[in-house]
Amino acid sequence: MIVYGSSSTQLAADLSRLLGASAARFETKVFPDGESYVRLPRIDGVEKTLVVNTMYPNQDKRLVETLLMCDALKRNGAKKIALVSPYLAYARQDKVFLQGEPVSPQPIGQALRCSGVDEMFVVEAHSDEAVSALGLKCWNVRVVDSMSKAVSSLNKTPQVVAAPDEKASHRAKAIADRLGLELIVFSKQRDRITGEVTTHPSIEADVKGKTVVFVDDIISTGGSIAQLHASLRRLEPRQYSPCASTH
Amino acid sequence: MVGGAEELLASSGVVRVIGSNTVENQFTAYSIAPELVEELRRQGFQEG
Repeated sequence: MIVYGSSSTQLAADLSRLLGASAARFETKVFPDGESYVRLPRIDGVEKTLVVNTMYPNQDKRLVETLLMCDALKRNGAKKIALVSPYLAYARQDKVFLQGEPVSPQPIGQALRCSGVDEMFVVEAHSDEAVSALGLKCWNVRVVDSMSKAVSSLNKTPQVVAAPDEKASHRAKAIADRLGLELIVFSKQRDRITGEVTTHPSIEADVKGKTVVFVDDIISTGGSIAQLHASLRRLEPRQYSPCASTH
Repeated sequence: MVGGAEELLASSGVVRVIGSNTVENQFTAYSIAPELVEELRRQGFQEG
């Protein structure tokens, strides 16, 4: 049985179809003061349940909603809960960069475990460190096949794959290898106080006249990608984009 | 994507953003369901 919340309607439908499993949506609403309310629909056979609810947009709300859904399932007979949350929220702060900071995935994992989550499936999480900090049995699913197909289906197949930093290079390299494209890896420094990012290509790649596709796990403000373009511009690529991301 | 990310990317030369359905929005161009299902099956989540 698949049950899902407000943030993963289409994905739950895809999983239901591909797995041949029935799916039911939790009733969700928001109290006037902003708190979340969920209610398990009337269903049979919740002993082994797949909960589908990604933690974006509005990460705090989605997280609480997920915790409440899992608690409701446990109270209604679920013996095993597997959580599919493709976007793992709070993964960026996967270590203490500055004194006084938390390791964010750790309390998130503890909260999920307390609510009854036995195992978890995330997609292309920001880092392996974030996944292990959860302290849960968690599978970080790679989607290089699907990303490669999406890139190769573009009208103009790029000649170069660019990774914004070393951390993202394994994903970009896998796509470049699969499609027989060149790879360029940037080095990125982030000022931990101001958040300012500086980038430059770690290798002087030959991109002149070529189309470049940037591959990253997430785009939020777009600032990092815009900076990469500025760094690349002096190398005179024909076209700077497109840009492929997992989240 | 948050704030003016779309405008910032466009002005910097990005001609297209290809996103997955991990977050459902206008940039969704591919589904991560096939790989997810493969892993779920590998870990014992069977049909029905």
